[in-house]
Amino acid sequence: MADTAVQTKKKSGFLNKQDMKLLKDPLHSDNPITIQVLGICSALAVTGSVTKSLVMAVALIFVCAFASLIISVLRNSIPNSIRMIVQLLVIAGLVQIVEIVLGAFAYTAYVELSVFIGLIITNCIVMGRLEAFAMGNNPKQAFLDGIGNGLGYGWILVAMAVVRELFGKGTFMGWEILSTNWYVLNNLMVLPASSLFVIGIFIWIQRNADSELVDKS
Amino acid sequence: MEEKKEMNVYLYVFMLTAVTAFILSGLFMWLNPTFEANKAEAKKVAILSCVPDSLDLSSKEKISDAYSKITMYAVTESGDLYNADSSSVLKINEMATGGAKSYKNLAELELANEEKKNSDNRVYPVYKYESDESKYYIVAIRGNGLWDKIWAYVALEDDLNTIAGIYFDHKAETPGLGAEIKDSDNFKSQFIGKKVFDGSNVAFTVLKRLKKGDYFVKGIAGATITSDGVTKMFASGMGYYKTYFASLKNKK
Repeated sequence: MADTAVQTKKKSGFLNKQDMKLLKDPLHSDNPITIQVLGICSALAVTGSVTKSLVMAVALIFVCAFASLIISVLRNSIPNSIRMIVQLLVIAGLVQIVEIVLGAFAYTAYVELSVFIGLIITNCIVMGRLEAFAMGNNPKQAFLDGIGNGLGYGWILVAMAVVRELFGKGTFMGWEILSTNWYVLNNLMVLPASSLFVIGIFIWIQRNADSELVDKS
Repeated sequence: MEEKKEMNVYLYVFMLTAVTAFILSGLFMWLNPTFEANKAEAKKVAILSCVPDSLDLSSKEKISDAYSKITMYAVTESGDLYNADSSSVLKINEMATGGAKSYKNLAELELANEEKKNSDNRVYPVYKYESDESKYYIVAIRGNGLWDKIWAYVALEDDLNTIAGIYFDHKAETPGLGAEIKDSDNFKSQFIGKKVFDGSNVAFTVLKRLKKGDYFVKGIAGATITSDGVTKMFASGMGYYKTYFASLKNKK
């Protein structure tokens, strides 16, 4: 059920070394997008503008962290035969919460993102972390792992959006950076397909900088 | 290892579902009024955004202030007119067929809902904008893009023919291609000053290669189906208002 059982050592302070590792690993050496290549669907879809991907990142961090927390609290009581159904129910419930809250307090973001907020339910990062980590670890660790993976997903998303929005629309969060007087907008960058190139380039840069990440085989 | 005693599966799912449903419905009841208000306001902003007067829409008060210059009513394809009073709304609701929902007031009128009715029973909204120096008729049209529905508000000058401003939106057009009908100011600015009707026919067309003339704008490269969708949307959508516009012109 759980392939990563973390052994808790003696605690020192609020976040010990193990906890920090849970937060930091997904940012670089165990990144959900560039290393595990999960959650690509939404990475293709929402990275056309920085604002959109920021909202998406926050939404995913929220869902991933609290789903991990809830599942970890319930982990000893969940009947094994229906554990995936329970996980889906928790994720779907949290996604609905995000959708209702966005609709009331950030209507523009809700309109732009609505389909993709719903699609967090099918984001393999969330379910993957629940199965691989939250089912076998204590709530605090599961919560941190959820935040870590949400952040790892989020920062790649936002970084991609910065590149795509800058070259595709010449703007950063709507502000003009590259004036259209001398810069010809690259429409390819606006199209969803361009995020595949951008992810590819990110993966290349990351593995070039850190040879540990390259498959030895 | 000792076998862990598991709770009854059905009971477990039932309890968890009940808790989730309880939380969600509570949250929904608390926040849905805000959501509906946001939706209504976004619609007002969309309608006002096709008015060429420079309007300040930066706050709620200013939006409702600007919107107070709009009188809304509805017309049928045969030219019958329904005002915003409650008896007219009642009549519109009586015509609801095919599972179309009824309206509490005329402001709720949606073309998406009208489409469910028989074509004879449909009503189409007209938003008349009147300020001291200008007068525009804003109408709503709706059609198909490549993936899903597209819709627009069109502001017409007092001659009921010249386009004064336009607002596009879409459900699922491709960013960078079909979605440019909403995102590209270059595309939208072409519409201003163009004419819709040639005599009694809708002559307005989105073309791949631009021709000279009052009725033509250039489509979006790479989004032929969405561009053609806009043409078809104008042809059908503006056609519904034809009889009403003719009677309005006769009155003048």
